[in-house]
Amino acid sequence: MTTTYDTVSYPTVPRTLAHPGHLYAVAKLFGIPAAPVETARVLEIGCGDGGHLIACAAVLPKATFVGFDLSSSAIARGQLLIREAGLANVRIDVGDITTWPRDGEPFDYIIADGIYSWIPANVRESLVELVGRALAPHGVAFISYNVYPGCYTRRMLWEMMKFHVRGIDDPEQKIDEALRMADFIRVSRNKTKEQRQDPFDRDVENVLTNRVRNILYHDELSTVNDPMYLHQFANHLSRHGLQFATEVMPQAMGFSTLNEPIREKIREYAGADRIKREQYTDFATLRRFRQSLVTRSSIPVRSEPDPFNIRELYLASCASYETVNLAPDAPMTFRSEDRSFMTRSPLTKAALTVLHDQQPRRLKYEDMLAAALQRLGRETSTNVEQEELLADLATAWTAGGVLIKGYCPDFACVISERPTASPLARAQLRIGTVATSQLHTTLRLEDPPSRMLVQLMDGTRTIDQIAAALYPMFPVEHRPPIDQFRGELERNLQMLLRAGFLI
Amino acid sequence: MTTSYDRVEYPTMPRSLGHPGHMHAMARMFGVNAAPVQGSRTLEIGCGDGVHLASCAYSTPDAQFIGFDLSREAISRGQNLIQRLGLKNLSLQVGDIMTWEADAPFDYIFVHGVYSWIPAPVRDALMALVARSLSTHGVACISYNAYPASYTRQMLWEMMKYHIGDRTDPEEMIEKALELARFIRLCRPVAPGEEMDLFDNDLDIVLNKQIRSVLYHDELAPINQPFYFHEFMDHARQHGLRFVSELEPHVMVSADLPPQIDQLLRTLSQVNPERREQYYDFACLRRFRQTIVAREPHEPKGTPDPNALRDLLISGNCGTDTIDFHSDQPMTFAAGTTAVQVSGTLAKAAMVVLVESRPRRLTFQELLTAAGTKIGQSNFSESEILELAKDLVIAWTSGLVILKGHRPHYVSTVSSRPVSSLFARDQLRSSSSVTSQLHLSMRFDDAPGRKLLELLDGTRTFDDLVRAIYPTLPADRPMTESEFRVGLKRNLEMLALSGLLVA
Repeated sequence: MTTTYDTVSYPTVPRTLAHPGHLYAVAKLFGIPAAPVETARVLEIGCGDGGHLIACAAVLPKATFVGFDLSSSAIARGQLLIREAGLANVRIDVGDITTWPRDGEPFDYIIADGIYSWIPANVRESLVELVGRALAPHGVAFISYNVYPGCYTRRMLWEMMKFHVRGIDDPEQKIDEALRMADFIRVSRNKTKEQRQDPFDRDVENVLTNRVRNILYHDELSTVNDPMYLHQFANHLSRHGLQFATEVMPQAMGFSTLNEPIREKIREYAGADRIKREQYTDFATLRRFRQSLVTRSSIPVRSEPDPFNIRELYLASCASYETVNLAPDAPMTFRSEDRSFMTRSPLTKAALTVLHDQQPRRLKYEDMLAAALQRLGRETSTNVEQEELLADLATAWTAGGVLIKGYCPDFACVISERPTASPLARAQLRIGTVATSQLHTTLRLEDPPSRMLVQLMDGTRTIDQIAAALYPMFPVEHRPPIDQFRGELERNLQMLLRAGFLI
Repeated sequence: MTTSYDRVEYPTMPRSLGHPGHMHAMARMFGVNAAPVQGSRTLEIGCGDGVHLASCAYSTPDAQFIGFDLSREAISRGQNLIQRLGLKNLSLQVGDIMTWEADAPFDYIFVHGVYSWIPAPVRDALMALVARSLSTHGVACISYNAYPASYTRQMLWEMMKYHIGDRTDPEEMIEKALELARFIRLCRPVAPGEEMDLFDNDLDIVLNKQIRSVLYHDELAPINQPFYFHEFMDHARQHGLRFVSELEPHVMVSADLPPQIDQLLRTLSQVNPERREQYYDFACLRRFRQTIVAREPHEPKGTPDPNALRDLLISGNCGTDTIDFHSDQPMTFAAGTTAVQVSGTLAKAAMVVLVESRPRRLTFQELLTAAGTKIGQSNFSESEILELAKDLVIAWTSGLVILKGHRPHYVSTVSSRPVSSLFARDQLRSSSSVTSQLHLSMRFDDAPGRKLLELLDGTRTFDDLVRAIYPTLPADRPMTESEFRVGLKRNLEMLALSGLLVA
């Protein structure tokens, strides 16, 4: 069958938030007894070319991955990559949500990313029914979808663009005209860049400046794009024995990020009702998109993460500090992308410093604790101190300063004598220009020498041998001096190392 | 049958743009040979308590008016009003859109606040009823909530409805709706002086609504279905109706928009007026429309016809600072924040005549003669006249000049025993704002002013009025009797000029 995705390909990007390792960690924090991710069975519905699923399979070799998609050309691309990377634990097929067999072995994790809002109502019904049937009793599902109220301002723009491109068949022309329409509106609004604070104006700006053309085609111009309110989504799930458990990124736009006076109002309106609380939070933030964790209705879910469960998980830092001061009562501030976190507790300060210094390494809680104590020149810690540390880590997680993950992928933290790039990355770069690291981040390498560099790192060559093989690849007229070339090579290796491409 | 309008009264008011005299002018300017107002028949569908129709019927005794509404309560209030005013040319009936039949065709049909607020089958019956009730050259104006910008209002409506839940008591519903609006404002604080539009502005409108019952019937209406202009026109066309113009002259031009958008829309109005309307809505993010449609099978005219202006009545609605007919310098005429520069000698003189004689309605010939007197010229070439008409069209679409198709019944000089409008006196019973025969809305906040209007029943001379009012003046505003007489004379002249005296 030919779909619109066969005509204009939709680049599937690996999404760390939809990684089973992340889903496991969030589930654990909220008290959901999810299956260990290392040996889990994972299904992705609408996996596209498998860009996400195959990268998950590559780092979890003992887990089983199954995916399907309606687009035969996307599936063919993915199958080629699976063969090229020699992966035996992942299989993707052409399949339809309404007819995909429901009676096979259940799945511990089901991923449906960018599907729910973009399919006709009857298929949407079938999607939730499929999740309800195929999910293991303690399984968790990831479903992303567009939500109201925030999507109303987006919908204004979608519909204006769609009106403008009516009758145009050629996808490229359609995209051009849609962008012209968005520009027509931007000019009509007659606002300076600073004045474009209204959600609608930001949507227009976003489409004009940040949107990848193919994504514009499949998202904004999608024939079907039906946002709904969270409470409607929750109702839909409950008809199939499922429930909304939590967001996979609770720190983003969550209840806890609101000001206390607003939280107070929401408590008053929602009482103990979790869905109501989330719904009013969406009202407060005019939310437009959700990535929810879904479980069976019978699973009890905590309303706040349980710091105690961090002990079973892996931690990594995504915050920096300026100066170390581990002395009792001295404040130390850790800054993440847009927020900061201040603590005076010596143990917490030591732990966050350890995580930062070992970036991008993921440490199991107990290893982090041991390293932190060593930093403080101590051997043991009291229960009270540990409780405090765990609570601080949960807070830092909510503030975006710490990553909490359910597994540790295999990747190198130092450049070895004969560096080895991951087999997946090497396979990807034999076929195309995009590679995925062990940490699930992507890199686009457009120039042949960079791609060759990754190919050469197969564990048989020293850095000198790699340099010797790579240098002649540059055309004579563009060939840098050998010293400069060596310097750049070292920098590239460091970059690949930090991004998690070496094993 | 009891409607929600029987439970919670909806305050209605005269709408000057809903008068057949205005619809006549719009239709003529946009190429429809609409019937003379004198002797015409006007229907209002969903007339509520008929206040609008009563104001039209009272000021236009030589035309017929009929209205119907589902609410028995409202119609009965309207029938009482007919009795009090002694109207012979207005009939109000309890009627249902699904079954009501006209006994003869109508030249003008006005449907305000109905189309978006009724179930789909009734909406279709409404369009069919309009189409079959119009005379050959008849025109109808139908108002509705419009997309795209109604989406930002819809956000608010839906959040308020969620907060209301299953409550049914109107007062409680209004209270909850306002509570939600205050909650959203708490979440989206607006700094004083910050310019708001779209969503924040919608929120502001709700929070500042003076009349709670309007909130109940507008924002909380169980049905409130906005439409894109093109959807509305598709519906109209199915019933053999075509686009004429909007009810407000100023939205037929786009001079307020950035020049390149204005130019684009002007070009579009030449080739496809309906498409111009849709893109105008996109450009200014329209939220409400009052669209005039006709049965006449001509193509719509995108731009107003200056020649049609010569058969209409013209009045000024603006002021000017300096008078300078003969230099090359243009003169500036302004109303509120809108200003127009006029260059031609004849046009300048005509505008000054309109400023000086406002709010009187002049025929084109009267205006031409008076303008000629100002500049000492009595014969005009056809091209000079056309230039003047073109300038007046610009002044009209800018809101500086008003065009009407009829002269209301009123006297512009003060008689020996003046009579004030009975309709205005009736309005004073429940409001401090009255509507003149010229459809000007005027406030009477002070007791002496109200008393004056009430005493003008044709039995009192000027001296009688002085004797009746002077002793009742508040003691804190001392005034001699001769001062009072001067003021009273001025007030009476002002009332005459505004169209509040009928004999």
